[in-house]
Parts: sequence; C-alpha cells; structure tokens
Amino acid sequence: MRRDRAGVLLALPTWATLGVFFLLPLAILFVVSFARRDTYGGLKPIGDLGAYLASGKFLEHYARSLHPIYLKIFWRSLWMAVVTTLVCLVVSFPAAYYIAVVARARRRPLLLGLVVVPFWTSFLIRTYAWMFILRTEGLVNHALLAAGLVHRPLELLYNDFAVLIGLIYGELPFMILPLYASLEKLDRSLLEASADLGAPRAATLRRVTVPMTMPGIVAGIVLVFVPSLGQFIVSDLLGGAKTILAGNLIQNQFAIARNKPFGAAVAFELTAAVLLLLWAYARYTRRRGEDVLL
Amino acid sequence: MEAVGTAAAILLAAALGCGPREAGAPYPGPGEKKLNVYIWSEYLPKEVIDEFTRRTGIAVSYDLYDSNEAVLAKLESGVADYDLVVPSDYMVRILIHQGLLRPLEKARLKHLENLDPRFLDKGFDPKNAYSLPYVWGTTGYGYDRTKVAGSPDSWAPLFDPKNRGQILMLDDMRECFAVALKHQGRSLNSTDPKVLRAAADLLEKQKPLVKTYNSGDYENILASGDVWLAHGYNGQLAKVVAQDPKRFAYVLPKEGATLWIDSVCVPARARNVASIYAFLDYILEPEVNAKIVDGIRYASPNRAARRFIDPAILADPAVYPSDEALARCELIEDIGDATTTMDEYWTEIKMY
Repeated sequence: MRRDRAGVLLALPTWATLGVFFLLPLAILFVVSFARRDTYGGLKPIGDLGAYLASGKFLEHYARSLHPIYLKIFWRSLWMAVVTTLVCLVVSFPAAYYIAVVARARRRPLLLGLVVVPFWTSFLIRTYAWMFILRTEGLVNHALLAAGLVHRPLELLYNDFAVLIGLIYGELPFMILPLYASLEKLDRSLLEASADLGAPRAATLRRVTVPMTMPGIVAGIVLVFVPSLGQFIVSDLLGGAKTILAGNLIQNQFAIARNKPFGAAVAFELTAAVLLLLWAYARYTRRRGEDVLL
Repeated sequence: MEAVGTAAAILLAAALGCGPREAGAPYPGPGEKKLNVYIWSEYLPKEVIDEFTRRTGIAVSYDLYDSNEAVLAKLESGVADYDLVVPSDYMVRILIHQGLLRPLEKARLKHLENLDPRFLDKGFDPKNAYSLPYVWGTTGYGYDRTKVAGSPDSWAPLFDPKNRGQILMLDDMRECFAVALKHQGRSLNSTDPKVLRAAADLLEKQKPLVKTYNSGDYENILASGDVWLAHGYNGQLAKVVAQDPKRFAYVLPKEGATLWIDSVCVPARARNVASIYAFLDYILEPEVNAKIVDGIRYASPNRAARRFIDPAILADPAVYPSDEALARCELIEDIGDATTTMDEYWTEIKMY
C-alpha cells in the first residue's frame, strides 16, 4: 500500500508534464480539427452546434486529408522514414558493436562522447553546413573536381538524395545510443560459448547477438522512425522545398495557408499513427517480458 | 520554409555571436528605457540604432524574421513583447482584422508630412490608422548576365526550358502565383478558380526547371553561381547587382509584378509607448531615413529623405523604378477563402 502511494507520487511529475505539454495540446488540436477556417485564417464561430454536427461538415478536414495528393505526401514521408531507419540501423549496428564490445572499456566514454558531440550545435546549423558541403560549388564538388574524378559538378543538393543524407545524419545518434545500451549489457560469456560450440562468427551474430539486443534495435527503430516521419526542416533546406513531407504539410497549414483546422486534422492523424506504433512497441516488449525502454 | 528560415536566421546569428539583442542588455526589465523591435533581416542598419540609443538613452533590442507569417504567429501567440513590427501590406490587413495592432497616435509624430501620399491610405489600412510605410519595393528577378543571353525584360526566362535546373523561385505561395498570373496577363489577386487553375498549371510546368524554392538567402545563391535566375525582392537582389553590375542585373518584368509596402505597426500589447513614438519620429527624420535607405538598398516612402540618399541608389531602377513600371505593379491583397484553393494547388505543385 505504501509502495503504491510512493509510486503515484513519483509518477506525478511525469503525468503533470505529459498532461500539460502533450495531452492538453493534443486535445485542443483534436477539437480544432473539427472547426472551420474563417476568411482571415481564424476559426469560424459555430452558431448551432447540433446543426453543424448533423451537416457532417465537421469531418471535412479528415475527408480532405484522404485526397490522393495528401495520401501521396503521407506515402512519401513513410517511405523516407523507412529508408532513413533502415540505413541508420545498418550503419549504427557496427558502430555500436565496436564501442560496446570491441573497443577497450577505457575508451568507451570518449567514443560515446563523440557520438553526442554534434548535439552541442543546433540541428538547423548542422543542416546548413550540409548545404555548404553539397552545393554545386561546395566542398564535395570542389574535392571531386580537384581530384579529377568528375569533370562537371554533381547535382548533390536539392533532391531526395540530399534529404535522405540530412535525415540519416540527424537521426544516427538516436540509433547508436540504444543499440550501445543493449550491446553493452550483452553477456560476453554467451558469445564465447557460441564460439566454443563451433558457431562461425556470422552464426553467433545472427543467432545470439542480434536476438539478445532486439530491445535496443526496436527502441532505435522507434526513436529514428518517429522523428523522421514529422521532419520538415531537412526537406525544406536540403530538398530545396521542392517536395512536401507530412511535417511540411502541417507547418504550411498553420503558417502559410492559415488553415488551422486542416493542419490540426493532419497533425492529429500523424500523432495517432505514431501512438499506434508506440503501443505496438510496448505490447511487443511486454510480451517478451522485457522492460519498455521508452 | 519561412519558419525555418526565421529560426535559421536567429540561430545562425546567435551562433555567430553577432545576432540580435546585442545592443544593450538582453531583455531589459519593465520600466527601463527600451524598445523591442521585430523586423525583417537586414532592414535596420546598426548605425541608425546606435545613433538612436546615443540620443535618447533608449536601448533597442531586435529579433529578426523572414516571413510575414512569422509576425502573425508571434503576435497571435500572445507571449511576444514587441513594441514595433514591420509586416507587409496584406499582413497588416490581417493583423488589424485579428485585433493584434494598436491604433497610432499620430499627434505624437512631428515628421509625418515627410511621407509620400502615393504610399498612404492604401486598401490594407485606410487612412493609415495602424501603420506607417517604412520601405517599399517590387518582386522581380535577378539574373546572371554571363549565363542568360540577351537582356530579358519579362517573366519569360523563368519559364524557358533553356534555363532548366538554373532557376530559383521564392518559397512563397503568393509570390509564385503572382509570377504566373502576371505572366498570363491576370491580376495577382485573382480569386476565380479557373484563373488560379491556369496559373497552377503553368507553375507545374515550370517545376522541372526550378532548382530550388528559397526565400531566405536567395541572393547569395545567385551570387555564388548556383543558379542563373533568382526570383526575389528587389533590395536584396540590388545588393548583389551593386557588388558586380557587369555580371548581375535585376528585372522588373514588363507584364507587371508585386509591389509591396512594409509598414511599421504597434502591436496591441506593446508596452514601451514613449519609446515607440520617439523611435518612429526618429526614423521619419530625413537624414536618418536616408541612412536606412543607403544601408539596406530598399526605397523609402519618405520624400524629404531623397535629398540625402546616395544619388547612385536614387538612380538605380532596381530600387526606384519608373512611375510607368510601377503602374503595372499590384499590391498583394488577402484573397480570403481563395487562399484555401491556392494552397491546394500549391501543395499539388510541390508534389508534382
């Protein structure tokens, strides 16, 4: 009983924070998504609520979001987020494995520090740095031209390639860190046992290391996938604002089109999709009887 | 893009340590002599601010933005404590309508008669109850003379397949539609869905030619040789032209273009009222106003200032176009519910 009360008290700050900064705004978003835009971009007052609900107009923004053009945007965002997540996973696993298992324990803090160092600079500024690296007269092209590898500058900026580079670069640490946490807890004696029993390295990796670090892999996937889904800075700057991701769509509705209800509806849909994903993750972890990392 | 650009401008400035709020203490407390300004980037020369602080002892701190929508968002949020903002015409109308501005007490201004009546009493703020014109200009394009042949005088090069992959357009829905509409001989404030559809079709056709949409640092992208043609505001492009007139030129297309007037306004929640009027009167002084024009290369609606402005700038048609060219330009008006239609087409263009 006393334990229960302590639990409630300890959870209180979390719930208060979640309530004020997440649930409340989400509730406002939800209500706004059923309203209508007035001529100047505010919300149109609703005279007769019953008649409004009966007319079905309150659902018009959700209906609009199913228009093929918006489905295309969601599909594109999903696709970009999936590619980002997969590349991050493939690149991060060896890095995390090296830091957690191969490198000497003494050097681990330094290596981990190097993963975290980029956070000292704003993501926006690091994205601008990528523009200088990738542009027609940028660092990469200068180097390639000087080395004689190409004769004309490559078009590296303002395309999907640049957007993916930016997304992968930005999300990489969020994959390395949970993977490291999982790999670091890995019982070395299991690896040795596997080797002693004659398993080749690949088999040990496939049948011991990867299954044992699954919680870290899943956590990393969630941590990378979710933010990439809502990204809008990268596609604006590195993609040259030539295409729209779900994040841009939402931002445009609030800033440029000043259509808050539609922006709210799309934002709510995206949030709901992410929450569904997190719920699936929590279920998956609990079924395995492990701690939920997020 | 705009929000990103604004944030980028602020962060970049902060990172470089030369940013806003460098004059005086950061965020002086209430009751002190201070003025908080929210203004476009590169719109207020530092020497003009310093001189004001020297004369009056009022500390000026400022934040920068690069889109009108940022001003609306900040003032709507209700938390910003700005004393002056400088939105463009159509945004002034929206801000007035949303009750976010405070009427001007014109009796407190001594130098009002310096303003050119051509820029007063416009539709967005009849009788200038809420706003005073600060600078005005046009939205045309700059081009690289070493890459684009001939001397273009219309919007046509922005739709010419010869310039594929070498065109920069402002990442601004209204400005891009203005280009297409004017090129098709329409008003840039058209609300007829058929007319908007035709303009959207043209912009979709143009899309494969466009290298990037950018409203943050387009003039640098032009200057660095990354594009041959850059759609943009005349002042920023005039700076590039002034640095290398043999290589760059600005075009105010003959079909007409956007005329814009950026006006100083007082937010409804502004607190430092005495500082506000001291500053407004100060920038209306002819010599001070001329220093602003010399510094930012945008035209001023202040007639009395003309005597003090650098003659080279006064003679520059990119900054001070002829009355005839100006007559073909239009102010962007808020098009109300047609904004939603335009936004749908704009999204379509971006996804095309």
